Amino acid sequence: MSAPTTVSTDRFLTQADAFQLALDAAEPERLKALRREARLRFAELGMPTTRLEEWRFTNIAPIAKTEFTLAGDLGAVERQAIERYCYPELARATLVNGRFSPELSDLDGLPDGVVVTSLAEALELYPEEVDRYLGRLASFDERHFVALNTAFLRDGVFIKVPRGVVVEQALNLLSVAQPDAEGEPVAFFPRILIVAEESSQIRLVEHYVTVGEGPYFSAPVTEVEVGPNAGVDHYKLERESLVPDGDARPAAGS
Amino acid sequence: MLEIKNLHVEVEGQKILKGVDLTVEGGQVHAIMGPNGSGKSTLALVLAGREEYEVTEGEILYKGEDLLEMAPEDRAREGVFMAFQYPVEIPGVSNVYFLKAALNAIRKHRGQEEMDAMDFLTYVREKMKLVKMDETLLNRPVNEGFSGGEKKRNEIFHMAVLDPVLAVLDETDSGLDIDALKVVAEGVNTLLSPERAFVLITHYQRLLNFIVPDVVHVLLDGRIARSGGKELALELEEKGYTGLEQQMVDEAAAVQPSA
Repeated sequence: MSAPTTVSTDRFLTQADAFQLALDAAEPERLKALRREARLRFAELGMPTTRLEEWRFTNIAPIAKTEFTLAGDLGAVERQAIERYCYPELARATLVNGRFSPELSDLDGLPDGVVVTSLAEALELYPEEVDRYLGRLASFDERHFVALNTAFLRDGVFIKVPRGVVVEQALNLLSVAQPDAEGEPVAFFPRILIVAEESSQIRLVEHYVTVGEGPYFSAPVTEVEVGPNAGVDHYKLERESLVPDGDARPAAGS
Repeated sequence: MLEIKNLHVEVEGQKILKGVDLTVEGGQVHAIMGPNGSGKSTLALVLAGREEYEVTEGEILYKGEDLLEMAPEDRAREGVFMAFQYPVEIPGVSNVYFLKAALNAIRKHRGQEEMDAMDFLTYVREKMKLVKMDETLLNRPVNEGFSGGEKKRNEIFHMAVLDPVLAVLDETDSGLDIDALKVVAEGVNTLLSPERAFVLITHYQRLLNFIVPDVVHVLLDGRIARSGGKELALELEEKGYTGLEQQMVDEAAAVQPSA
């Protein structure tokens, strides 16, 4: 590996360790193990280079040369700043730098029983369900950024549509990137888990936008479990600024 | 209109239907529900005349005549229509050509005059409105490149054109989202009439919210285990097939305490 790549990989690994240490010891064992395995795998894989077939035409060297810091709790995003990405006809679940923001979300129109909540909270409120699918649909064996995302797994959004429920309103899954005001390169890893139970139906758009300017790196991972006779219409809309971002490959299970 | 008596069917030596009794009168909608492997599709295919299915016992009377003696094309001429779970594509044969040939074969059999191209197109356009089908699909080869939902709508469109007496719909709802389901259901509902009967085979209850059945039958392990009104479908939705099976086992045990 060339020196710049090693530098950024090392930095991520160091941060992953610090991240893991800082977390609540009361977290589910499986989640901790998942992160550890993912971190290990990322250490083995490193950042992808154009020598790999899958990455031949996507040179992420600029990302690999940059030392990113895991985005912390940055200042709140003003509702006004995201106004043009909000649509009254759509329900909205908002993430800011990978963290679920209830204040910026609009979920009142959703039918009873539909769950849209922070993944961190879901780990506590719906442990069995989350455990059943989280990290099981998106494998990080060969995928660099899935490994990296999983090494930093903590928050994101959990969406569950119960059996037989048809969600009429489409969901705007708004993922806002807010770079550091001082221009320090930041990284964050949104995690999206969607579970559509038997005969349920939902339409959603993963909507990626940026507020402010500055370098950042985001590697979201989406896992979708679609039950028998269920339907998930899944779209992705990229409206971010021109900073290179990471790999976002939805993994759908059935 | 349709009388199935003690029907036993085997395929490749395996027993699938183990004594099915079913009577369907004109104007009725019967729903047949059941878990995978219960024999639902077998029943539909035996009605259509699929050769691999061997009838080892029992009989099927259609309009008083022995259906099993009739070749599939004769059954079709007599007004039996089947909508398939996985409609086939027929490359090179346009939808409109296919339907005109089929309809005219039926009309000829009924002693009616065959339709010419102009009359047929007028007739067909009316039917297209019924199932909200795009006219461009008329000239496409049958089902070629159609999405799952489009294929199912095409089946209903075919049904509307061919004016059947007995329509058997095999899991027409599978793979459809709720909007497509409503279109299909609407198409079927417009065709309900006293001279026509429907047998809807379905795994999920939702279709029956839109096409209200007169009778619901539950097929379990090759036999009709229970029949009832539309509430039976809701009961099934709640309890699931295993739940219902268990309930029946419990009921049987209560009536006949084991020695």
